[in-house]
Amino acid sequence: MTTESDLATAASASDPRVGLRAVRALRRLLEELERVQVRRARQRGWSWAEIGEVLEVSRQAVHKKHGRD
Amino acid sequence: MFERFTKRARAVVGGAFEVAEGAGAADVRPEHLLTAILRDEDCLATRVLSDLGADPASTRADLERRGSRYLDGLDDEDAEALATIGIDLDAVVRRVGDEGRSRRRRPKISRASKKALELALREAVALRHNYIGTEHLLLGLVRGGDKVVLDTLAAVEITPAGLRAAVADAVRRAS
Repeated sequence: MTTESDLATAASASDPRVGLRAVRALRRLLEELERVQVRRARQRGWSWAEIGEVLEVSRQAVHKKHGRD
Repeated sequence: MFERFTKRARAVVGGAFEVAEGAGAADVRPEHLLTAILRDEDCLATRVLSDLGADPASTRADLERRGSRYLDGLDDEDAEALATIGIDLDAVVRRVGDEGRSRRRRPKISRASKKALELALREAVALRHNYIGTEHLLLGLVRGGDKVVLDTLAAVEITPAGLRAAVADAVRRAS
């Protein structure tokens, strides 16, 4: 049986355009998830340093990126 | 700027906050503004949209469907692309969203929505109107280019150009 997702997987395996598009979408998803989770952590009183530690980036880097959100 | 808004347009902006809150969104996005417009079925903007073939109730439902998929900025194409590598965007949004709802704050207006309100003012000025009504809000939203808004309208074959012409027409007839 051929399902839609089999077809999709086959397509992504063979077509770099589809694969690259997936990478781009994944990057966007990553950015959005980071924004949501950082905001959530801030709302719960986490410091920038604590957030940076979990994300394995510097306190300054997190603050610079999300400080205005 | 707000003092130039008609009572109806003000109600729409207020309504958009309720729509966003109801959707558990952190921001009042352009699609929430459009939903709020469509909730007022007697306003000029909604009448124009109806005339162009966008049924208010089903368009609101379509906006909600498209909007719930958005973690701000991800669209149908992204969802399809993610599906090819086995990621179900709807499932991700659901999981992330549910936890977010347990600690909800009053949503704040998003950058894109602010921009749309500014563009509404410009649309009013361009039409030489000294007030900002729902029709200007609608034009501002479309000119702002939000993807959920444009995709939803495109699904019922409404183009920005067609909408502008229809609004200009309706305004002329109303005055």
